[in-house]
Amino acid sequence: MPEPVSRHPNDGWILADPLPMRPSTHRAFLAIIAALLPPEPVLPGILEQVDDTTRRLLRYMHPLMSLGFCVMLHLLDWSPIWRLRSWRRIRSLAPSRGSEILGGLAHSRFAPIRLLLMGAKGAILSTYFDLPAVHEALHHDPRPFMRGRIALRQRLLAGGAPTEADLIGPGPGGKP
Amino acid sequence: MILRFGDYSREATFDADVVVVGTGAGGAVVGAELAEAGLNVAFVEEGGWHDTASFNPYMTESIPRLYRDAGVAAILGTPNIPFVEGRCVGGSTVVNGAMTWRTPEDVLDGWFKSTGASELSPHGMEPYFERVETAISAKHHLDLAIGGDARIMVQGARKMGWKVEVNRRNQDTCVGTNNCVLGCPTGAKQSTLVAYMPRAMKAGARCLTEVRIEELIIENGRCVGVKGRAIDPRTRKASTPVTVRARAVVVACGAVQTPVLLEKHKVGRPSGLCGKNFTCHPNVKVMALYPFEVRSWQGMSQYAQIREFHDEGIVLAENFIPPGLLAAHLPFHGKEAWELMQQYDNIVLSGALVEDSTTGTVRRGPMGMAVPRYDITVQDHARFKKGARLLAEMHFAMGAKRVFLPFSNLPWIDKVDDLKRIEETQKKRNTLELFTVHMMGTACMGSDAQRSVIDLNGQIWDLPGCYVADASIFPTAVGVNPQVTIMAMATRIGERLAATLAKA
Ligand SMILES: Cc1cc2nc3c(=O)[nH]c(=O)nc-3n(C[C@H](O)[C@H](O)[C@H](O)COP(=O)(O)OP(=O)(O)OC[C@H]3O[C@@H](n4cnc5c(N)ncnc54)[C@H](O)[C@@H]3O)c2cc1C
Ligand code: SF4
Repeated sequence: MPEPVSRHPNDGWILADPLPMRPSTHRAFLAIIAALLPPEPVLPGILEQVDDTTRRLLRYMHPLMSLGFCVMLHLLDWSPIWRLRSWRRIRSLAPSRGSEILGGLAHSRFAPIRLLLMGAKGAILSTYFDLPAVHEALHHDPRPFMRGRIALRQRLLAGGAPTEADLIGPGPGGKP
Repeated sequence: MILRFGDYSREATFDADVVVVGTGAGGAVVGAELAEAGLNVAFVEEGGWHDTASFNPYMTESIPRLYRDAGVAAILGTPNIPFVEGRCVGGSTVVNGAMTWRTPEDVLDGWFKSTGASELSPHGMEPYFERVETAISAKHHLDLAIGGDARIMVQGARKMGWKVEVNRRNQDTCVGTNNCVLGCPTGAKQSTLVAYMPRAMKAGARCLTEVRIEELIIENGRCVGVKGRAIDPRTRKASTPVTVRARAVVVACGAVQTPVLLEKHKVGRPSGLCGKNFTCHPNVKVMALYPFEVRSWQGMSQYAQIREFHDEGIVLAENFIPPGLLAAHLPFHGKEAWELMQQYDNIVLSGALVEDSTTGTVRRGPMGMAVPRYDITVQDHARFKKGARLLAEMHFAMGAKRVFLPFSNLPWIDKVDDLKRIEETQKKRNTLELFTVHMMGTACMGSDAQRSVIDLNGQIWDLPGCYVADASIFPTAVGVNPQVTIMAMATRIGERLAATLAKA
């Protein structure tokens, strides 16, 4: 049995395969991921992990939503051109320049343009900030805390009394 | 008996007294009532059965397991409103915040007046609330579950002189792991997965998981079953057909999916209200960055609600989420996103929930996709701005160094004086960033076929044998977190349906 709250819970459920993308869409996707991810810290294989994980998540959406996502990737890829910022698509620009141009969409007066960026950013950044390597780089590991709390609940259910040390900090825990 | 994808190797047909579609706040409760009354119940649930031991704090695994559409859906309108709903055994109750509020008395008085049904009055609903609250263990917390962000919110409210009310939650010995949105890993949260499904299963119910119901079977004007297809876990495509025939069908797919199923059969013709009367309690998020560690990810979410502005239809509360989910709300990407996320331990996430002053619609779109539509009113816009301003004021009073606002053209401010910029910049509704999890009202209950979709027993006026028991059935929005109302109404519908079937 894996420890509680581990990744990859083994309850017989199967995670979907990554959604296949046409090569051109996939190139656009990889370029947009590179433009939206933080340049530092440099984490080996992170781009591929974000790509693989996000494409798995796309499988769970309604087919029209995942199709819409792919169309959105092309619109974003072409955004330097239709925004008159460059003659090249995001895929042909350095990630730092791509990042700058995509960032400009967030300030558009037109809600649908802002939505384009929001959709891609939401999917890519939420995947990125969930990956094990990123949690490690952020020094964020909720597992020891959670396992301690699971043990605490078992102790309480078995009749144990709560102690001061069980309060949650920082500082003196308990009632405000 | 629990069935999953691998068990439907070829076309399968099941028989039952009652088939219940959906196992959330409505479905699980109605199914448990019926099974315990001795009826042969078959649940059909699109999501999987995931036990407490499988829950973890990682969104890329939990979101596809527990949420519909990987949590990506929006209500169209000005502005668009992203929303999420559960898709697993237990439905949205598995991922909800566990707040347990009864329907306010004034709302029930309104339902009583509009329907003439005394069972919907505060007095009439009282026994159902009591039963539900006992079943889900609705009570206050142990102090040891309270975290740093809850303390900031309560102390902040006191500093501002605002009224605070501590939430009751459906929990048994909650220890504050703050993982409610990705499934409670301790078993404390009494979702319907924990509190009702085991009861139903013990009473002999079957649960057909990983099957999406696509249509009702109607014979001689009567609903006699449902048809759907099992979902292939690798491709997520609908595959093997599954049919359940029954004496009665209960649809409990939630206020967005239920009208999609019903609209396929054009029910609710006398009133034309199926899919209309949609309300959703939209809310805005306000995120504060403090110069000290708060560790909001420890301690339960929403210890209390600030109800000082409840008369104006505004409720304020905190609600923290794991890094992956939080990152989706950031106004940045790249380096700035990283710099902010490095201060994850210093962030408090709060929200202002606004009562609906209008209604929208849910329509069946191409390929059976739900298309909800809802436009906030000018009055709501003013209340969202007020809610955001109040929260920001409070966070600054508590020492926040930056407050992130729900406005695309004013994403953050660094001092309280800048709050005046809200009025200067927020002229249009489409710069507002909203979110919701409380969808309601799309198959409303009533005593008149011309003004409602279902009758007081929960049966669809123009489709005998087909019942609805979920958030769709509210005649109006409830103005509080809705799960207790749904469960209480479902208990009542289950009780009546059991009596009807026993007589028959
Ligand atoms: C993140 C979040 C936090 C919330 N916090 C709170 C809170 O603190 N307090 C509160 O009172 N409420 C809260 N809510 C709202 C509350 O959980 C819901 O209002 C309630 O669960 C709705 O109940 P329901 O039965 O209508 O639908 P659901 O609970 O959503 O259940 C519907 C079920 O039907 C299944 N289904 C749908 N369509 C089909 C189909 N075609 N075939 C087969 N199965 C299908 C779905 O997979 C799902 O499991 C929250 C909701 C969310 C998402
Ligand atoms: S805070 Fe943690 S222990 Fe408490 S109900 Fe939520 S997930 Fe369960």
